[in-house]
Amino acid sequence: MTLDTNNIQFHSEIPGFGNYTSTTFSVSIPSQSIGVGAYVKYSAHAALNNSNAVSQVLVQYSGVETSWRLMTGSIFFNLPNNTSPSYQIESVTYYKSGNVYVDTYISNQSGSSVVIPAITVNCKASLFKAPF
Amino acid sequence: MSVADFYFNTEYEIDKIIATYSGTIASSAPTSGGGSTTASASHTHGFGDSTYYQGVFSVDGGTTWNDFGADIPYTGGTYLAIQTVEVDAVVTTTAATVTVTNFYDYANSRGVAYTVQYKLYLMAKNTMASPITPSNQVENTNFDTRLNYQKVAFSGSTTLNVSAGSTGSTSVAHNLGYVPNVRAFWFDSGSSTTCRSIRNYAQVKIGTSNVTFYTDQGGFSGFGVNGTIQYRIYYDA
Repeated sequence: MTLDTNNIQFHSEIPGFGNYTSTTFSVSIPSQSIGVGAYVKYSAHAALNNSNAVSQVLVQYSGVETSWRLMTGSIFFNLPNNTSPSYQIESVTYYKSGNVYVDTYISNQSGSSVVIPAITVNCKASLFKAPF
Repeated sequence: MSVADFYFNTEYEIDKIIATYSGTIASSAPTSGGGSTTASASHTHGFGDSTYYQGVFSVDGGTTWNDFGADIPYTGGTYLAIQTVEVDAVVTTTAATVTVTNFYDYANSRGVAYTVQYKLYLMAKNTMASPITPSNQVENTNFDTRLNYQKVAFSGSTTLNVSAGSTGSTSVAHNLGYVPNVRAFWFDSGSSTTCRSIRNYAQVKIGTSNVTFYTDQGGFSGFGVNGTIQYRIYYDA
């Protein structure tokens, strides 16, 4: 069977991605001072069994931006900007013991103590039925 | 009724999974001198064109699975190690290659060997070069009306060229009024048919009106990026 996938919306023998569950979770990071060379870590997690699934995780850093970031791996970015950073935010996501985790590290990138704003790391994890 | 509320509707395109593969890769322990080890496995797909992909991997014998690109921190030592073993893939016009990168833990003076199990699927791109024959592995999968199949709202490509030491971005408007699901893949300008994960090239920021692909090529690891992002924006959120 040969198919021109450019011209078909769907085919009963070729599955698409079927979402069957999603979960939202978050962690609040209070405003605080971070010393030179130091970092803080905050972890958000939720129970989510990803057996026989592929997933997508979105993260929003409420307090510094409104958009959501797709976690295709780790996320890291400098604030206020790359040319004169004060601190770096890095998040990683992984599954362990039936839970999905988003760990966020905020590290001081300057030569003096920095005060970070209050940040709420909002997370959304969606599971799709795995085709294997 | 909103399109986003449909589980399935023939008027809207969905993704098309055209092949699945699985395997095991032995990853040798890295040393402090080498920094990391890499090991790969390839699967010839025969489609005559590259495809999109996603996969999962396990380092504990299949008990726990993580998506390609995940970083599993190591907390068993004196110091935290964020980067341990990473698994990803690239898809060319002939084959899908899965690569395991195993990083030496300098903080805890630790190098560990892993047996990595993986599962990988290939998905038809927005535009395929020619008609394809799906692999036998997916021909027995049927649709399940209990699942919400992701419906493609917009698809296309955009370029992102940012020199080393700079930041840059490119945006695509969707104007859906909410934050939709998105998939995106990277194609280097130098090897324009090879599909790669976008994670090493740009970050994906999703708003209620736009999707922005942003890259920071500053710092010692910023070498500059030049390529094309192929994306899919779904009605589903």
